[in-house]
Amino acid sequence: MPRPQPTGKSLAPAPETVPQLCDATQLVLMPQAPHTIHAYWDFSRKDLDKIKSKLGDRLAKSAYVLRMHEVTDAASGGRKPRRAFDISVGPEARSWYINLWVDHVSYRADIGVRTAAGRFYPLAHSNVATTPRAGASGRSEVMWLEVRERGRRQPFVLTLRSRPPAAAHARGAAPDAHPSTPPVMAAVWGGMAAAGNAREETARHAGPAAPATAIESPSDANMTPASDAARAQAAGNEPAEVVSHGPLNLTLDEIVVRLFGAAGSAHAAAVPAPAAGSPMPPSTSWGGASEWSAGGSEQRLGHKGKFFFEIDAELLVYGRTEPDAQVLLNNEPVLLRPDGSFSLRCALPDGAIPLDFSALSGRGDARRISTSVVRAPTQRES
Amino acid sequence: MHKGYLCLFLHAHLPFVRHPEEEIFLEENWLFEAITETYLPLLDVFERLVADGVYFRITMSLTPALASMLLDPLLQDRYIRHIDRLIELAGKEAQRTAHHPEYRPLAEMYHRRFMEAKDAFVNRYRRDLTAAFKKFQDLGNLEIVASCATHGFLPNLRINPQSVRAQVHMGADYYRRIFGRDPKGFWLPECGYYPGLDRVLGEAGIRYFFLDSHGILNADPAPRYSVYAPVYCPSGVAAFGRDWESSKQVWSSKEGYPGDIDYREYYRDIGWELDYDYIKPYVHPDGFRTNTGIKYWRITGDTESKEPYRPDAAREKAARHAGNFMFNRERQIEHQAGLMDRRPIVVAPYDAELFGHWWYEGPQFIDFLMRKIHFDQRTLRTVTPSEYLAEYPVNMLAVPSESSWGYKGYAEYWLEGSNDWIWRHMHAQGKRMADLARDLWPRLRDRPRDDVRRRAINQAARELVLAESSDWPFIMKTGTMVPYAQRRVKEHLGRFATLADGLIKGDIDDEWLREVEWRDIIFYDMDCAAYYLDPPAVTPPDVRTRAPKIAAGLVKKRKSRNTKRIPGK
Repeated sequence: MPRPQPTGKSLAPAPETVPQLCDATQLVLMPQAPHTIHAYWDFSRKDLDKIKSKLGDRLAKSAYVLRMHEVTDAASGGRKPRRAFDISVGPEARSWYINLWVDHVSYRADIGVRTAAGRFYPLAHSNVATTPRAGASGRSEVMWLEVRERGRRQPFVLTLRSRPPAAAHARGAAPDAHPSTPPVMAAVWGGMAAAGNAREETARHAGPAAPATAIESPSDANMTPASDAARAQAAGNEPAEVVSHGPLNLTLDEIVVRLFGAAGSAHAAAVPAPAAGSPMPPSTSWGGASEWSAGGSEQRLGHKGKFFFEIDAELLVYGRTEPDAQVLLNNEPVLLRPDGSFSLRCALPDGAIPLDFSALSGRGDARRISTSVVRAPTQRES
Repeated sequence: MHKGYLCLFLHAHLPFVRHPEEEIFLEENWLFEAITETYLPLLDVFERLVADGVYFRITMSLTPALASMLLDPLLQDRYIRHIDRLIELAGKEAQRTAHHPEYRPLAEMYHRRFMEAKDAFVNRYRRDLTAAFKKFQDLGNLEIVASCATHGFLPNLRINPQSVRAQVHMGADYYRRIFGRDPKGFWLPECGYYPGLDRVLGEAGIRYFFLDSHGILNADPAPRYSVYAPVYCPSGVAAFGRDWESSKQVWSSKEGYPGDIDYREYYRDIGWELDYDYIKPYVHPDGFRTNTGIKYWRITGDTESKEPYRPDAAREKAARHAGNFMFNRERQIEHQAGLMDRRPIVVAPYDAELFGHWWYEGPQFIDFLMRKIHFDQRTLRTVTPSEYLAEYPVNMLAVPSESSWGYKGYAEYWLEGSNDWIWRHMHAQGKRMADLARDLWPRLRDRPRDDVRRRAINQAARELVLAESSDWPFIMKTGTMVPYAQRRVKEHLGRFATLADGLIKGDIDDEWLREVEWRDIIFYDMDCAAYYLDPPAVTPPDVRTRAPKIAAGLVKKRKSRNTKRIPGK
C-alpha cells in the first residue's frame, strides 16, 4: 500500500458540534464506579409523538422516569429482578449519574413515562451494567491453572481446600501460604457453592457444549495436565497431599459444573422487560437513589411558564447482629457487613411499606423477628 | 540465590498528534520533547548497560499511536528541525550566559545534549527509534508489549464488542508489523479492565497484561499471594498486579523521588522566563510562549525563588534514590518470600515519559538502579513477565475486578461531567462502523487497494479509532488544552460520518479522501475495517517479514563509567 501523499486540498475546519445522531430511541448504562452508573438516552421524534398521542392530557401530569431494575441474580442465572426504583429525570434530561448503595451489582433500566396513576410506559430498555467490586471478594477458595507456551491443549484445574486465609487480600500474602504450613488438601470438585464473578465468567467462557479446548489459551500457549512439578508448585511443595490430579477428559462445561455446581454453566439470562403500561410489582419497589445530574444544563425541573414541584423520599434502615447471623427483610436476604451491621436504603413512595425483618443466629438456634410498617401519606394540594 | 523479582514497566505512549496542515503545530512538541528527554536518554541507558555487561530486564510498551509517529517521515523531518532550533538556542544561551558561572555550564550542557540527541537520532538510529527499541528486545534485555490501536479506554467502549476487538486486534497486528514477532504481553490503556476483556486478549494471542493493585486484590476468589504473583483469568491469560509501595515511591507528589529539591524544576523554562524578543524565534510563531526544554533551576523547595540547577548534585541524588528504591524492594521481597511458596514478583509500572521529560534525572535513576541490582545485592533480580510465567506456569485462577489506574481507580476520569457527552457518539458510530463492515467489507475486500470505496471504509475505521483515544476525555477532565481535545473528537467523528454517509450513498470525493488519508495517516497500510467484523477477518501479518536481528554496531562496547564507583553506595 503506497503511503498517502498530500493533495493540497483544504479541508473544512473542525465542526462546532459532533455529527447528528440518527433519530432513534435508546438507553445505555455505563458503570462508572462501584457505586455509580451513568445512563444516557435519546428519544426519537416518532416515539415522543406516539407517547403524546397515547397519553393525551395525562402526559402533563406524568413524570419521565428512569426505572432501575437490579438484576444481579438474573445476570448470574436467575431470572427475576430483585428490586427496582424510579428516578424522576424530567423531560429534557438526556443523561444521569445514579448513585447506588451497594457495589458489584447488576442493573438494567427502562426510560419512560409514569402517569399519575402509577402506570409506566417504557420507551427504551437498556443493556445490563455490572458495577465493579469495591473491596475484596469474600471467597478464598484456591483453584490452579497451568498454562505453558507449548504442550497439549487440555485444561486442568486443581482445587485445594485450605484454612481460610487471613486477609489474603491485605498487604501481604495469606499466612497459610507459608511453606511451613502447607494447606490441608482434598479433592474438591464442587467446592465453590456461592455465586460470583468466577462462576459467571467461567461459564461465559465455557458455553453449554464447548469442548475442552474452548477455554482458549493464547495461540501459542496451552493448558496442560498437571505435571509433578506443577502439582508440587501448586501444593506448596507438598505434592503428596494432592488427592486428585491428572488430566481431565471432560468438556469445559463439565468442569464448570463440577467446580461451581449446575448453576455455573448457565449463561447470563436476559431479563424480560415489563410490558408497556405494566404497573411496578409491589415486591420490586424497594430501592432508592441519590441523584445528581451530569450537567446542570441537562437537569431542567419544569416547563417554561409553569411551576413544577416534585418530592420523593427515601427510607434508611440500619441495624446490627452477630456477624454469622442471617437476616431477611420480607423474606429477601440482607447483606451483612463483616462486623454484623447492615443498612438498607429504600425508596419511600406513598402508601404502607411493610418491614418484616427476621434474624437467624449462625448456629440456627435462635431467631428474632421485627415487624413494622412505615406509612408515607403525602398530602398534596393542587 | 535471589529470593524474588522486580518487573520494571515503562508505558510509552502519546496520542497521535501529527498535523501536516500546519507548518508548526504546538501539540507535535509533545512528541519532540519526549524524543529528546525520554526516548533517546532511555536508549542511551540501555546501550550503556548492555555495553557494560549489566544483567537487566525492563518491560515496556510502545503504543501503536506513538510508534506510528516515530516511524512517520514528516514528523522525523520536523523533529530534526526542532532539535536544530534547540541547538541554535542553546548555543546562543552559552554566549548570553558567558559571564555567569552558574548558568553557563548549564547552557553548555544543554547544547551538548541536544547535539548528542541529534547525532543519535540521525546517525546512530537512522531516524527510526522503534527499530532502536526493537534491538534491545531482540537482545533479550527489553520485552515490549502491545497495546490498543489508539489507546481506547476499553471499559467505556464495551457497549460495542466490535470496537473493543478492533482496538485490541489492530494494536496486536500493528505490533507484529513493527517488531516482527507475536506480542506476549499487552498494556491495557489506563489499566482499564472489565471481566471478560481477557478473552479478547487471548483471541489476539496475548499471554499476560497488567492491572492496578485493586484489580488483583479484589479478584474473585481472593488472590492467595496478593499482587506478588499473577493470576490466570478464565481465558488462561495472566494478569499481573501493580505494587503500590514501589509506585508511591516514584509517583507520589509529596513522598516521591521526583520532587526532591535537588532535581531540575520542570515548570521554570526559559521559554517563559526570558525577554520575548530574544526567545520569540524559538517559541510558537503565533506569538505565545512555550517550553523550550532549557531549564536552569532546581526545585529548591516550596518557593518561587529557585536556585540554579546543579547536575552533579542531582546525579548524586538519583544514585541515592536508586539505592533507596532497591533497598526497599529487597526488604519487601524478603518479607513476601517468607510467606509464599514461590519467588514473589514486584510489578512497578510507570509512564515512560515520567523519566526524563517530567523527572529529568529519571533515566539516570534507571541506570543506577539496574547497575545496583546487578552488582550490589543478591536478593532480587529484574525479570520480564513472560520469564516469570515460564518459571511459574501454575498460578491461581481468578477473575480480576473491573478497575483502572486512574483517579479513584475506576472510570471516574474518563466518564464524568466534562467528557461524558462523547460516549453516546462513540457508541453510535462504533455500531455504525460494525454495520458498515458487516454489510460492505465482504464486497470490498477483494477490490484493488486503491479502490475508492475500499479506501473509504478503511479510512472510516481509522477516523473512529482516532476519536476513541483515551487521551481526549482525559484532557477534557484535566482542563488543559481542552479545545484541542474537543476539536480532535469532533473532527474525527465528523470525517467518519462523512465517509459513512458517502459509502451508503455511493458518493465519495476522492480528492477529499486522499487529503484525509494524508492527514490521518495512522495504519495507512492496514485494512482497518476488517477489524470490525465479528470475529475480525484479518490475517495477522507474517512476523517473519521483520525477523529479529541485531544490527551490527548498535551496541558499542564502552568503558564503564559507573561501575567502578557508584555514588551513594
